Amino acid sequence: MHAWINRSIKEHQAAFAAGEYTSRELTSAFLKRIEEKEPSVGAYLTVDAEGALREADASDARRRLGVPLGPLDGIPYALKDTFCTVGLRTTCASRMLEHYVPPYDAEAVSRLRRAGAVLLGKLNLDEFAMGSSTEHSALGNTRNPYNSDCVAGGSSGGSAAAVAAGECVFSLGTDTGGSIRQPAAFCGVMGLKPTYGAISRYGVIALASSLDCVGILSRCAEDGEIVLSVLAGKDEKDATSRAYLPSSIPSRPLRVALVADFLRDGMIAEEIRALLLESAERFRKKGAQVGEISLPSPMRALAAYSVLTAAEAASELGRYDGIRYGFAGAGEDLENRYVSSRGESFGREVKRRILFGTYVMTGSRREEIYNQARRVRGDVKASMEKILTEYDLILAPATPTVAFAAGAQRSPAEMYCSDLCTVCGSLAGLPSLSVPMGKNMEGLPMAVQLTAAPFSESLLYHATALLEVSHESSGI
Amino acid sequence: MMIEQNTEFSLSDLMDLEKVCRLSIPEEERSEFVESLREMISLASLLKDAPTDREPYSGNLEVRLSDLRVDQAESSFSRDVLLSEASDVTDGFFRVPRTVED
Repeated sequence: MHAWINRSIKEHQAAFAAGEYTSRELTSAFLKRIEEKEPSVGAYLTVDAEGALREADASDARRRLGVPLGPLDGIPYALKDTFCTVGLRTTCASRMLEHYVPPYDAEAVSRLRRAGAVLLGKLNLDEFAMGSSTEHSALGNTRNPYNSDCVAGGSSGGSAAAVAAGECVFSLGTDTGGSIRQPAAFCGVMGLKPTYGAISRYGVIALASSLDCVGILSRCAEDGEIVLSVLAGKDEKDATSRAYLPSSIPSRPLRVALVADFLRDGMIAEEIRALLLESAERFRKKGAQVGEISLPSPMRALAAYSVLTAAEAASELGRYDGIRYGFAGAGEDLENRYVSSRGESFGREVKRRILFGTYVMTGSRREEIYNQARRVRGDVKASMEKILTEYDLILAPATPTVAFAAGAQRSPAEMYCSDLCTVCGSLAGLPSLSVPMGKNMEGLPMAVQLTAAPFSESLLYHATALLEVSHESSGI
Repeated sequence: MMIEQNTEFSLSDLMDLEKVCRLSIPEEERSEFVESLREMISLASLLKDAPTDREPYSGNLEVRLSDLRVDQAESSFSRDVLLSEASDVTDGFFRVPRTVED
């Protein structure tokens, strides 16, 4: 492997400009790296070598003419397979869409194409982004690059593992309740869930539209900020997207709120608890003021999240009927066609959430459970916003534990508990960043999570310097 | 936090839900689905005692008039492109099983 493959975006651009290597050479190096790592990692569902080399050649040609498109021109990246890509299959890791080839690009993909970035391929996930281990993919499991006996996390497990294993410079994922931050933590890379609406969801296959966010997995803060600057902003094709007006970084010492709920016995693993306290200490040493705060019942927030995502997912996935696109089952009448198409192609976890989501939306349960979950969501949002009037950052663990063993039998509730530390930021629509903070005794990555006020992504990335996180500390 | 296990959700409830969801669960998997759905319903029961009386939140999806595109026809995908992924097509239309009895 070339030593330069793991350089940052700016370093690659400097190398292009100096003639040290071309985008084709860099892309070829990544394709070779993918070939080497995939047997043990399994991050990619589709590798588009031909398309990537074509895009790299176009980038090199622009550079020769002296008209590169900007900081991402010629930089190889990969996409969670929830992003529609014209002419390139988009599976959502489901039998339902295993052979689906979209007629259009997601807006995020269009923006990256316009910026000259080089698409290497599509990455594995839990089917329809439902899960936290990337073991609920119908098309194969992704393993943790640090230890193949452990999971990569999920649902953006392929996106995290690919960046960690050096199989792309950066990747995009989606985060509904922690699906970028949790796998980023398990794989030791930086994972940003931006402010809700900061990046267009147009062309991204939905799990739960009121919570879904497109986000970025990178090896360092600087790379993440560059990618965000290309992707963020209003898109008229997504009415929930917003004009991106970044908040400025305070010039005074930062005020950091440590979430004390997670320090209680049994809430999180002891090694993560120790990391959290050490992170608070690092902030103090850099002059930040650190105080302790409490969130309104994280378990109740988790319950609200599980109800809302399932209810929305049941509705979102109603569109898969075996008629217009996707898997078509047999059936003499329309009703049986629907049932066989959905029954034969959706995996167990997807079915479970559709059933649960329909359950909470039916009859009196709509008011008792679904609307109550929406009320609790409002409470969580109000509490988080109040905390952020007094503090600049909320410091919490990114996950309750390090990556767990692959193949471990976990009940649905246990699986949801993986999201215990991340759901509050999602319910409140706030930007959150999973920050890799070294490894435990077994060599598995550990991470903390920073959350800030809307459109404060720059502050989140800036704060990683106070935690002494460097480009070299991410990935293998 | 201990979660009280819901035991009211039954096999018959599951089968009713399957119909509503246009889903089929294989017979041999049904007892596992009942068990896991009971667990999820139990988790949801934590919401019951939440001390809140606010209006149900719907903020993120509230769309302002100014967020909408101009109501103007634009060129879109061709019929052929839109039909290209369909399971069955005839004369430029989606073809589905008969929906009306003779």
